[in-house]
Amino acid sequence: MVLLAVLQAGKHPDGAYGITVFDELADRTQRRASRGAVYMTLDRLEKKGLLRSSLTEPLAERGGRARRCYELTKPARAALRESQRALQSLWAGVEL
Amino acid sequence: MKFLAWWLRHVAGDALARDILGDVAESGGGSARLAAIAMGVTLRRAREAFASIVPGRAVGADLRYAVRSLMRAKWYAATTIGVIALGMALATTVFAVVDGVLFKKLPYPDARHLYLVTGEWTSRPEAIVPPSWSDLAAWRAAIPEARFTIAVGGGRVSIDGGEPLRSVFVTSNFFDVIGQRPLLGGLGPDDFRAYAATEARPLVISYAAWQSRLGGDPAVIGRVVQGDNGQRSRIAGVLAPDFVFPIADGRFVPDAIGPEIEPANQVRNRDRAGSVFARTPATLSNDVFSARLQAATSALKQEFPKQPAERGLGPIDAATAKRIDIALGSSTRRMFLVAFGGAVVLVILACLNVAGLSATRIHDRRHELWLRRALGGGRGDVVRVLACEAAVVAGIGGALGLGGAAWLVRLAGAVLPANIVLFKTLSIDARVSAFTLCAVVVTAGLTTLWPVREAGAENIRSRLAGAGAVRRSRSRARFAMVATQVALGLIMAVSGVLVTGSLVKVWRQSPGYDPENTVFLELRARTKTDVPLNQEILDAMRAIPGVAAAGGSNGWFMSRAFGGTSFDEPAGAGEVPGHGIDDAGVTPGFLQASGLPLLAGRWPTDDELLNAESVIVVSEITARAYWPGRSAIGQVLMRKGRPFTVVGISAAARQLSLDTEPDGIIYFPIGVSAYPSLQTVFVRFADGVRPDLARLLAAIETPRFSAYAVRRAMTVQGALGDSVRNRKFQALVFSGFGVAAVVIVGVGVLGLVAMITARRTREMGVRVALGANPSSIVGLVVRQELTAVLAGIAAGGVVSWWTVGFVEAYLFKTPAHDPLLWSAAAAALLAVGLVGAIVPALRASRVDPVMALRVE
Repeated sequence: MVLLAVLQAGKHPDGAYGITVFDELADRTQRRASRGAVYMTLDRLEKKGLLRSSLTEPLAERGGRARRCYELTKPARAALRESQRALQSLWAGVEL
Repeated sequence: MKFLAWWLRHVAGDALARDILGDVAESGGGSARLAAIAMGVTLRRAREAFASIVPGRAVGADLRYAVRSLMRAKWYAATTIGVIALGMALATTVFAVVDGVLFKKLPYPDARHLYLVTGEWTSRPEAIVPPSWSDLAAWRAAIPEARFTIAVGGGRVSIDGGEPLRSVFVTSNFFDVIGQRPLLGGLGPDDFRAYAATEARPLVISYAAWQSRLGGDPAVIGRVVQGDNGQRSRIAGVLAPDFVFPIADGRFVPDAIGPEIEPANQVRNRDRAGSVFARTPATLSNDVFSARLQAATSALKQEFPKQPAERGLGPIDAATAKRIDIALGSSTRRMFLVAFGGAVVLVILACLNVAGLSATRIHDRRHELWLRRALGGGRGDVVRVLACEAAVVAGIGGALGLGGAAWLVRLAGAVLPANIVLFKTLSIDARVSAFTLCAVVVTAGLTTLWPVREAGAENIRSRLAGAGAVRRSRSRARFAMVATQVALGLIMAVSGVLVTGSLVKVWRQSPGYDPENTVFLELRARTKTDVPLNQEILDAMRAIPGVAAAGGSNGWFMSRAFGGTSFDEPAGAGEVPGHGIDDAGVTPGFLQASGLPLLAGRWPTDDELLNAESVIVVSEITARAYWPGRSAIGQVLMRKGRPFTVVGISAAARQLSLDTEPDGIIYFPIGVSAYPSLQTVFVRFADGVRPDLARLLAAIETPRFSAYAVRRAMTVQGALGDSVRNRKFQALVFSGFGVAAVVIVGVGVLGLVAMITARRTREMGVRVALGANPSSIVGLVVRQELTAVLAGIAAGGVVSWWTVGFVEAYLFKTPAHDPLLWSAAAAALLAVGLVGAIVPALRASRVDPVMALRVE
C-alpha cells in the first residue's frame, strides 16, 4: 500500500516525500495511519531495496533542511505489477 | 521540542530524524505532531526489537503447535504434567507454611535489636528459667542504654460472665519496647498509676475479643466491664489484628493484656519476674549485650550468693539473650528448613524426571527437528519450539499443582501443631503464588536445557562420529538420569520411612491405662468447687445410657504440664527418674473409668475417697524410687504434716504425652486438696456403645454446673494423638515427600523405559523373528534398567547416610540407620523401578514381528 502511495505521490509537483505519501494514504484509504509508522515503513522499504531516495536542496520552509524524495526501484515496480495481476486474476468473473 | 528531536534521533537515526523534523516544520504541526510521530516511531521500533528477540507470532504458533503435539502424545503429556503437578503441589504447600515461619518479616520493627532474655541454673541446664527481679535490677543498672520489659502470662480475666480472657500482664514500657502499637488506645503511665490506686484494671483486648465480645464497638475505650467474680476492668485499648505476642515457641495472641506493677524494691527480690524482653540501641551488638548481661549476672551472684534453701531455685546462674527472630520458633525453625530442603529436592527430582522424558521425546522428534533446520530454521527456532512445549507442560502442571496446594494448605492448617509460630495467615497468597511461578519457570528452563543440549550435540556428533557414539552417549545419559532419580528418591524415602516409622513406635507406646471406648474431658473451674459438686457432675454423666464408669482428678492429662507433688520425699528415697514425682487428687470411679491397672494392694474405697481419708496409691515408678527393694504397701508419706498410708500400687501411666516416659505419681482423695476442682474427667462407655460426646457435654453445660467450663472434650485416643501433634505433622510432611518421591521415580522410570522400548520396537521384532522368547525380551529390558536402579540405590544410600542427620532429631526410639526401615525404603524404590521396567518390557515382548519390521 505504501509503495502505491509513493507511486501516486510521485505525481505531486514536490515529489513523493513524507508529507505527500502520508496525505495520499489518508486520502485514498480514508484511514489515518500513524505518521511514525509511515516514516518507519519508508525507511524499511528503502533498506530492503524497494525504494530509493534523493535529497533536494535545503529549503527555508523546512528550517533549512532538505526534502527526502522517494521513488520506486525496478524490483518494487515488478512486485506491484505481479500483485496487480494476481488481484485481477482473482477478481475475474466475480460479481458482488 | 529539543528533547523530542533528541529522542527521535535516538530511536530513528539521524537521517530519518532530520526528514521528520523537516516535514513537521513544513507542515506546521508543532510539537504535538512531533510528539505523536516520535511515539509512533518508538512503538514501531520497540515492536521490531521485541520481534527480533521473541517473535510474537512465532511463539503463539509454537504454543498452539505444542498443545496439539502434546495432545497426540497423551502418555507423555499426562506423565510429565502429573509429575510437575505433584511436585509443585507439595513444594507450594511447604513454602506456604515455611514462608510464615522462616521468611515472613517479624511484625516487630527493628527486630534485630529485640531480645528474649532467659536464665539458666547450672544445676539444671535443660531448664529455661525466668529471671528474678534482682537479676533484672542488676541488668538495668549495668546496661542503662537497653530497655527491659516484663510479661507475666497465664492469667485469666473475666469481663462479662462469659469465658474468661486469657491474659498476659506487662510492665509499663512493654509496647514501647516491642514496638507494636495497639490498634486503639494503649497502656500508658496514667493507666498504671490508676490501677496502682486500686481503680478498675485497664485491659488492652485482642482484636478477636473486641469483635466477638464487645461487638467491635469503636467507642469501647474507657468502658468499664464487670466479671463474674466482681472484678472491674476498664477497656484501655484494642490490639491490632496481626498482633503476635513475642513469646518463644507458640503463636500466642492473648485475649487481653493488662498491667503488671513492678515491686518497689527489686535489688534483693528473688521472686521470678516473668518473661524478660529487651531492646538495645543499634550501636550495641548482640555479643557485647550478652557479655554485659552475663557479667552483671555473675556480679550479682557474688554479691548475694545463693542460700542453701534456694537449691534449684533463687537467682539465675547464667543469662542468655536470644534475638527475637531466633527465639520465636527456635524448635521448629530447623524442622522447617529441613522440610524446605525436602521440597527443593522434590522439585529437582521432578525436573530431572521431566528432563529425562523430554530428552527421549526429543529423540523421537528428531526427524521433525532436522526438517525444521533443513527448511532454514535456526537453532534458536528449534529451542523455541522445545521451550514452548516445556512451558506448556510446566504451566499446566504448575496450575494443577497450585490447585492441589490450595487443598493441601487447608489440610496443613488443620494438622499444624499449635506451637508453630506463623507470622501470616496460612493461604496461597501473592508470595506463595510467586514462588510457584518461579518454580514453574525454573522447571521449564531446566527441562528444556538438557534435552536441547542433547539434541544439539546429537546433530553434530551424528555427523562426525556416527550413530554408535551417539547411542552409547545417550545410553550413559539415560543410565545417569535413572540412577540420579532413584538416588534422590531414596534420600526422600528414607527420611519419610524413618519419621513415619518413629510415629508408629510412638503410637505403639502403652499409655499405661486402657484408652478404648473412653472419653476425656478437660474442665476448668470458674469458681471454687467442692467434692459434693464433683460427685453431682460425675453422677450426671453416669446417668447417661451406655456409660459404664466416670471418674476424675485434679491433675493434668496429656497437656505436657508437670505439677510436682506436695508429698514429702521419704527418708532413704533413691533417684527419681524423669521429671520427678507428680500427684493427683482423684474421685470415686477414677480407677474404673481410666482403666489404670492396679499391680498390688487395693484401690481406696469410695467412702475413703469421698471422706478424704489418709490413704494413697502410688505408681510402680514412685514405689521403686521411694522404697527401693522394699514393698511400698503400708508405707507412710507425709503431706503438710499429715501422714498418708500407701494402700495400693498402680501401673506406670503416661500423663504428659504419649512420647514422654511415665513419671512417678501419687493418687490421693481429691477432698484432701485445698482446691478440689476437677481438671480431668474420664468417662468409660460400655463395650459396643459408641461414645456420645454431645450428650456428655449437654449433661455438663447446664446452669447447675456453671462453676465448670469444658476446655477440651475428645476420646482418650484423640487426646493421645493430640499430645504428639508435632510428630504427626512431621510424619505427614516427610512421608508426603517420601511417597511423592517414590511415585515420581516410579512414573519417571516407567515413562522413560516405555518410550525407549517403543523406540526399540523394530529391534524387538527382529529378536522375536529370530526366535527370542518373551521372557528373554523381558529379561533384556529389565536387566538394563535394573542396573541403573541398583546404582541409584547404592548412591542414594551413601548420601542418605549423611542426610538422615537432618531428621534424627525427630525420631522416637528409632535409630537413624535402622536397617529394617532403610531396607523398606530401598525395597520401595526397587519395586517401583522394577514395575517401571517390567510393564513396558512385557508390552515389548508381545510385539508382532511383521508389524514391528514395518516401523520406521
